[in-house]
Amino acid sequence: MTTLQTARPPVQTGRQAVQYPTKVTIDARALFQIMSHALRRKPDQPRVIGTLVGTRSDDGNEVEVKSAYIVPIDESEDQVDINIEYHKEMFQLVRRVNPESVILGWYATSTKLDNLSALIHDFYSQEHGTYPHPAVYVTVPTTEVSDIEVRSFISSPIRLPGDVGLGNCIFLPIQNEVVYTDTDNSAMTVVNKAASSRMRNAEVFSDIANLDQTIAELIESIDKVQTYVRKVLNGKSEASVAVGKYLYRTLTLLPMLSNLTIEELYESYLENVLAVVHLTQAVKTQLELTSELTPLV
Amino acid sequence: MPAYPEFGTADQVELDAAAIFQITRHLHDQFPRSAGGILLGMELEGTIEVTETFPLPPSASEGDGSNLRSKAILEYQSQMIEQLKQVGSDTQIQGWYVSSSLGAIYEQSFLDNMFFYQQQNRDAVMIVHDVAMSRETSTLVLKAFRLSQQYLSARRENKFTTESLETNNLDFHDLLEELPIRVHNSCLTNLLSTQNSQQVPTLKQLEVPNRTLVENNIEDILDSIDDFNYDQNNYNYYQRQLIREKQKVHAWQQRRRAENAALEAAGKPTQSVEEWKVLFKLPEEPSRLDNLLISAQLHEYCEQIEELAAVASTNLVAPKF
Repeated sequence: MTTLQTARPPVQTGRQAVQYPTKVTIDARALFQIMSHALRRKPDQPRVIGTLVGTRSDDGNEVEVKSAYIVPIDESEDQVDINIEYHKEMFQLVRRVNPESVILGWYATSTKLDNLSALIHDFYSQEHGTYPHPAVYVTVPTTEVSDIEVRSFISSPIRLPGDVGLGNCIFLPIQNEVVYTDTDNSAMTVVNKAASSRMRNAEVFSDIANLDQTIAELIESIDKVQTYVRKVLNGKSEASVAVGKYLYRTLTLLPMLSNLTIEELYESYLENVLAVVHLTQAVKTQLELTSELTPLV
Repeated sequence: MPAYPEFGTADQVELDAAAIFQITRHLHDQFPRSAGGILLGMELEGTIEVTETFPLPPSASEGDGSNLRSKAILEYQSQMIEQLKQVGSDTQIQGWYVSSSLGAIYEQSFLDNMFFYQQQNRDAVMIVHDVAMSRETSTLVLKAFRLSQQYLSARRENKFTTESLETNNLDFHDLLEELPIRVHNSCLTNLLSTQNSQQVPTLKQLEVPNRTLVENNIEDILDSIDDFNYDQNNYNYYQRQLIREKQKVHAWQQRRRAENAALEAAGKPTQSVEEWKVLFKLPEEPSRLDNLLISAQLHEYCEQIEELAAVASTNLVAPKF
């Protein structure tokens, strides 16, 4: 009977055992880069692939993808040509900006997991890739009709006894997450605004409308909580201890202030603000005067 | 002899979503160090479309901006562009992006860099991302500027005397010209955005601006005022010098005239009254550029405080209704 071996062991490379990553975090920046790379696909090209750059945790358990660059490839039926020179040069350039970056693996703009993917993965696990660490493979579906669901894989060699061929491996999915920092969120607000316009455009500025929206969101969340609490009180809904504890903690954080005190605090803050504005306006007037008067002398 | 830039015709800047993410993340990661990078794209019917950006190595933006035009950086730039060309990116340089802190954008080095790029491409812009401000207010503070026509013509004459400012109609309001920025999504970005629409709302916008933020801003204003006074004192000194010299010239001319009258009476040839130019040297007017820069900066700080105050007062008053 033939046996099929799949393995996810710490593989021996040289003397040291190497830890396979179990989690991939992808910066929003890298995801957006990959998506814009997807637009550069030539009509005869099945997918765009490229290198993932970022950092690896000390134990090798987690990798963080910070950016990505395209690598030109030539894919045909059964073979693939990777422009290795390009890949090497580009990495050197990227490293000059972020010296701590390392190569983490590769991405493709389709979800294909075929024999050629295995060959490319093989290349990325070697000398010009992540060696001695294992490479990760991230797929972002852009050619399929589907949601943009990012998935990450590592590979595990499979082998029929007696087989020595390259490109035999199985892709094992691992946990991944796209991370939005505060900065990314503020950028995302603008992108979301553009998404809801017909021309897919939006002006970049902050305004009252923003504030309006935020207040609406706040009121909505409070309403949500209130409806839930009422339901629980009426016995219509199951009470959750976790939610209860969370709400209790949040409420105790609020300082106990009478409306009057709050009003006073508001007033005094407002007065300060107005005083500052008054001063800046005085400065501005002085500036205007100087600029108008100097040429007269 | 460098070519002097003609003035660009584009009237707005359009950024790709990926470009925004790259610019903001790069600058935030480097903060509080200042950093910068290159904008690539094209100009199309009055819109500068930025479709690709890449960061420059850190040494590029430290110290004075002349490093941005150093040989190493230019080499890095052309290598990177050569690489990007091979994978089908736009490769026309549309300017550069840079980080700023609390509205400090009027720096001589910024102007010099901008001049450099506008020489190569009249539609080049500078995109300034105010990292500190964006962090504090949780909004995206991103602005696009280019050198104004007035500044360019004054710079062509390479002097910033009161007279040249007058003829070029340049005052501190229009050193730089701001262009509106908008973001443009690809269909893919739109898909992603609609997919993630149930994001947690960021309530940070409701907060009244941090006190330290306003304090720092006021400190910046005070510093600028000091600079301004220093510069103004220099100028006043020049003016006093000028008046003193002019009085001397005047006295000399009076004497000459009196002598001439005597000579004429005696029937001898008169001496020229214009000879003072050889005898006296009027002090040279110091460049007014510093003054312009400081004024513009001061003005910017003030505007910023007013903006903060506007946010603060609406945030304070709005909940009452």
